[in-house]
Amino acid sequence: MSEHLREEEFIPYLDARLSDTERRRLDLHLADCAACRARRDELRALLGVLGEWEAVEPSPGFDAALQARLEEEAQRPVWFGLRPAYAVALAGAVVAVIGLLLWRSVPPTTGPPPVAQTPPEVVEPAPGGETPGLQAGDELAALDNPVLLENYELLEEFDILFEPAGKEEKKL
Amino acid sequence: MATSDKDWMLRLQGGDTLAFNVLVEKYRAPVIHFLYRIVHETALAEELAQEVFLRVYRARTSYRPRAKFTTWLFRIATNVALNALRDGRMRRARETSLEGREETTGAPVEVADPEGSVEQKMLEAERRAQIRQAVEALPEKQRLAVLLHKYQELDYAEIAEILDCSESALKSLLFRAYETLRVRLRPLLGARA
Repeated sequence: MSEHLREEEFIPYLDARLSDTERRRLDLHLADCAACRARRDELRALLGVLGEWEAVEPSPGFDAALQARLEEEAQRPVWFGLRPAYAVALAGAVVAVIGLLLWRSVPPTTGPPPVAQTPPEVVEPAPGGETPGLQAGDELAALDNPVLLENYELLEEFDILFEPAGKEEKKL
Repeated sequence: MATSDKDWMLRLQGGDTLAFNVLVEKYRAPVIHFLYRIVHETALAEELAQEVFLRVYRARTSYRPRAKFTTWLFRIATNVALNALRDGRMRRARETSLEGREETTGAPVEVADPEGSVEQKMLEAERRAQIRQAVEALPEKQRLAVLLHKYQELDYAEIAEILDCSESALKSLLFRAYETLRVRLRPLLGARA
């Protein structure tokens, strides 16, 4: 005897959705196998019995109720009809944007650690009355500074820069 | 040449709201039947069917005709039904149902009996109740497979896509479901009411 019908073959057989070749093969087996034949017959009867379970017909008011819901839907804001996941994502995005805007509008409270406020060191005048603020070497260095050099003539008027220096040095 | 469901959907996408009415007209009853056999309550089945069509309407702009329209429609209906089962709407509907219908069978309760004896009607109602209970007792996926196969007559490829399984797995699933039903409903198989 050939192989019994496999479980995935029974329903397509009953639905007549097998190829001719497959159907002939199964028919040959069914002709010889009482067990498969009995099962097939019971399954066929079952499909008939299941057909007795009737469902209700739509009520006459179905279309009107659907229309009312469609109109109600049309009046709602767009976001109301979003799927919950999309609505949550949208809400999250809005919160993120608002948060970003708020963050940018508030001056930063964090920054470099505050520097200890120590009074500027008082430099005692050097012996000889020279102001250590700008010495001869400093004047030369000032000439290397393009900004100072550009305004040299103006700066020259500020005696404090050059007051302690001698006349010769000043003519550098 | 007849306009296909996909074409109606594409027309709806283009702004033709009459196309939506055509689809509702065509699928109103199948969707309600399917949902009724899951929730067993008329008003809830209709409410859920409205939700299904609302989702179709909402999705019109993003609709892409990749699968058959019925596959897409019944996938939506399946999701809506399962959500209703899980959020307890079915239980609440049963508790509050005041309808004069026999919700276990879907048949109106009749006092007058113009076509048959009262006893005959009761026997038929009892058979329907047994069938409903046997189907209801199936595991969820098997139950959905039976409803889509036996009552909605969708093809294997569609059901497999809706239930997210292979065709081969679906055929085995159906066989196991029908085998269970065959055993449970054996008393009904030999004798019709």
